[in-house]
Amino acid sequence: MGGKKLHNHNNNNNGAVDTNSNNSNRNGTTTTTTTTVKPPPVTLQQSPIINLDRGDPSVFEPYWRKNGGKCTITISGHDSLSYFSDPNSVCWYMEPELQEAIRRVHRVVGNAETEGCHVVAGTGSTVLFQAALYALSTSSSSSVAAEPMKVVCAAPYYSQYKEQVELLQSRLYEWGGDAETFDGSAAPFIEVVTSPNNPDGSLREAAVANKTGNGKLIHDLAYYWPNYTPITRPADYDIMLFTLTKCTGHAGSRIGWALVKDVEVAKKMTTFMQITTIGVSKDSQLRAAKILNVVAEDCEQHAAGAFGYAGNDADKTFFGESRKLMAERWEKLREAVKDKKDVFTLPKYPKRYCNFSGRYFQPAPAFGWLECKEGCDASALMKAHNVLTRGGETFGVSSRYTRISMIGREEEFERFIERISGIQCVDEEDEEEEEEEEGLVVMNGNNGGDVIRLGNGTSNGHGKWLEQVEVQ
Amino acid sequence: MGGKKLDNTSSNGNGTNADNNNSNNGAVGANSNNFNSNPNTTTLKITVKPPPATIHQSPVINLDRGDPSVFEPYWKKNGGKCTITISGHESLSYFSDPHSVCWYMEPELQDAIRRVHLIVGNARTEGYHVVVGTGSTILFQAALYALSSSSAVVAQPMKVVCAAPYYSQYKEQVELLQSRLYEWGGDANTYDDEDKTAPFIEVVTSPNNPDGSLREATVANKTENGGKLIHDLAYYWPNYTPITRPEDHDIMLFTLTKCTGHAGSRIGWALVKDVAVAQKMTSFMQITTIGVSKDSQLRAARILQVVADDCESKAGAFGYGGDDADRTFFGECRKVMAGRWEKLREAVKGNDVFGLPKYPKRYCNFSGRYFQPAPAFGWLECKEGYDASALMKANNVLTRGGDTFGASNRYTRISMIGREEEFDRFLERISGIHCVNEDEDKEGEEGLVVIHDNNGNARRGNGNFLHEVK
Repeated sequence: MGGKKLHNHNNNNNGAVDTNSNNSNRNGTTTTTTTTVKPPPVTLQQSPIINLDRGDPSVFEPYWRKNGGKCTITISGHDSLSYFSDPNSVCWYMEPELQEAIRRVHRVVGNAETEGCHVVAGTGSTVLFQAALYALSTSSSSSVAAEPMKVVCAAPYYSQYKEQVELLQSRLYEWGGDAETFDGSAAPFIEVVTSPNNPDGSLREAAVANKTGNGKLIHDLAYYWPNYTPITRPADYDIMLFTLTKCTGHAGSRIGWALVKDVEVAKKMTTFMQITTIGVSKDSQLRAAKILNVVAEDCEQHAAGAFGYAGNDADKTFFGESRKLMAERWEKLREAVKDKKDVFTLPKYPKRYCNFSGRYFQPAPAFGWLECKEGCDASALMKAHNVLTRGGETFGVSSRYTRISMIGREEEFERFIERISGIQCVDEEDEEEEEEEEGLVVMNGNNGGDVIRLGNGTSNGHGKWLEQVEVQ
Repeated sequence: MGGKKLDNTSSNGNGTNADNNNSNNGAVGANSNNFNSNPNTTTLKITVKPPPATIHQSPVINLDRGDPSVFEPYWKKNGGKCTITISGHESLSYFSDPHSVCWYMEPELQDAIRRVHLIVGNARTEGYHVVVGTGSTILFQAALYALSSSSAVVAQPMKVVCAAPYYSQYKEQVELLQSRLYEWGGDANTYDDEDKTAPFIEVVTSPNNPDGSLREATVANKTENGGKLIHDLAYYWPNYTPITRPEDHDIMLFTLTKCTGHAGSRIGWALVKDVAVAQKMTSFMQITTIGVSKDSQLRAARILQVVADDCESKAGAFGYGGDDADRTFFGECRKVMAGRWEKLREAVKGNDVFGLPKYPKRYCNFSGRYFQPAPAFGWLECKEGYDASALMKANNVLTRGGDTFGASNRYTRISMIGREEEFDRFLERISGIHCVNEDEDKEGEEGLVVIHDNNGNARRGNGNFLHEVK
């Protein structure tokens, strides 16, 4: 049969093009692999685009609209004039109030050990990641390195690490790709461990750094807060990155911090911040300090005694209320794809006991890592339904996966649930009958280039998420 | 004669001891173009009267850095209008303006920037894109990225040059990550690429840091290829220098720090003609810091609007009368800066040791008057043979030596924008430095000797303000 189904949408996809998918059907005798999904209604083209590609944390806005009054700060014209904040600290541009608030909230939540750590503040944690790369690749032990230090991370890895590493084509370090396939025995390297992971929400340990003596570790713990995941113990690593953006949702303030054990590393990171931005906005530092203190106080008030929160009490904190929101969203998402097991799967997350919340719960990560059936280009499929997501290739894995933001606006999330609920599968046996019917076909074929894979853009340029299929 | 005067508090067998800890953060340039190079003289001796022994108990006066505390009194008096309040539910998002190239820039801030340039008349904004940064430092790096990554195939890193004396931090910023895209090419005055077609970047700082001079491109306009230009106009405001015309260059960098003194907010902006350059700079900001603090953007917008309102209310439209402009923020600050420069010139008038640059008066369109620039830094020159920052150091004043600016260490840079009390203390200190005539030079008397010798006998170093002379 030669049914070719095309749906003529405009493509305004913004992803990278990868013409080869690892998971293409490799059956040499079959010219095409077809999974047919019932076409979306023609009216879908006029439906608003739902953008779940990025991680703007709007989910927390209702909480702050209700409770934000306590966080109000006032800055007058003569405040914060100077570059300098704390001449006695390694991180001289860091406001003492912010450092105290950071240590306090970690103590209250129990997600990181701060005793013996230096705190380095950054304009978000992104720049601190770069500061850490600089610090680790210019330390005395690597100063005579002829080769740039490799930076690796286990796939699927956060799509932006590679971009950040490669931005200035530094001679100090370079992207080394997937940590799982990296040979760490040759030379010193840097491994980035993101836990919970972005995009797939998994909890992680170092993949390769522990196996050799050569690996230096950067732990990105942006999502290690009880609104997303159970806090099982205080993290205790050499370099731990956090960001206000994912903790409380205040992305616009651009505040992140690093907990750093080695004072020389902390100094180098501070130097990096000095040379790039001469420190961090004091207005935002003071605001972040206020917000973190309000959150910490709220937690302490609801505590049963000191730490050791009882279940009900923790539920009333910022983290508890946000956790419930996230849990609800995940429930709805799982419900929406329950009857589509032939097309979609979501990761399963085992329940764990959360010391902060005083209960067992299942992680509800900030992103949904949607997996599609073999042969499917997940982000293209979503795109066909006017939902923008970020395809697996940017995370170093197959285009069968795509990442969906679970932390956007409520209305947008609801619309997405509706949209994804409306996707219906059609059995292969039914397909013959529907040859003439317009349909949406999502295919990956491997017959020598005649079939162009649907992906983010195409090999012949951007703008096509549906390709004409040649059937041999 | 061979009288050698040494201060006995610091000499030892090899004469390299210094009383004070070395906290000089500049690079050491061992060769200065301006040393006395008379090969017949084995030593060059100039004696400066020793500071009192008690000098080392005096507080250290730190004029090395450019913290703009000079504006604090103005803001303590007038800062109320700039007060902003940010509540817990504001500025949550990464995003500000999806229709702008610079999507993380708050529209209020862009409006305020365009407005203040219009009123002050120091830069054209019509036809320009605005890109905001966490200070202008990072925008400089964003511009380097934008200019060096646009060429399709780059075989060699693009050279980045600047006419000496140049801002000490450019080199550091260029070399930070040992990028393959660009590298430091040094003094624009001596830049001569054999391959005249090789693209390069010239940075033009005007008024200049450290020496306050007004500048044009040195080499970029001369080659066929034409270097790409970045203009750093941090000090091109009427509190420091006459505004003679609106600048109109491809990339112009400004910073709130030097305009109004709010260094802690970390707000800078670039006016960019080419949309592709603006997009690349925005990409750079996205990848490094995913934008700029919205709290600070809103604060900066408020401050700039208050300043703009103040200017407008004092003179109607543009065309300010002299007196009216004097009562604006810029006018009041200009008077403070002028006052400080007058005192500094007075303090060094009597002795033979120091020299300061002369700045001709020009007509300032904003202020409606002629005045002499009063730059944010004093570029102090010392008589032949002196290591200026070492001499200052001996008097417990920290400054930034000429070598970090690609110039002779006969020069040193002194902040003119620090606290009033500290500046007054500095004047007192520098007033106390006098020369001693050679005939007065009594052998055996303790003296402070700062010597450089072309025969390699005297060692100069960071912080060694005393050298044993052979």
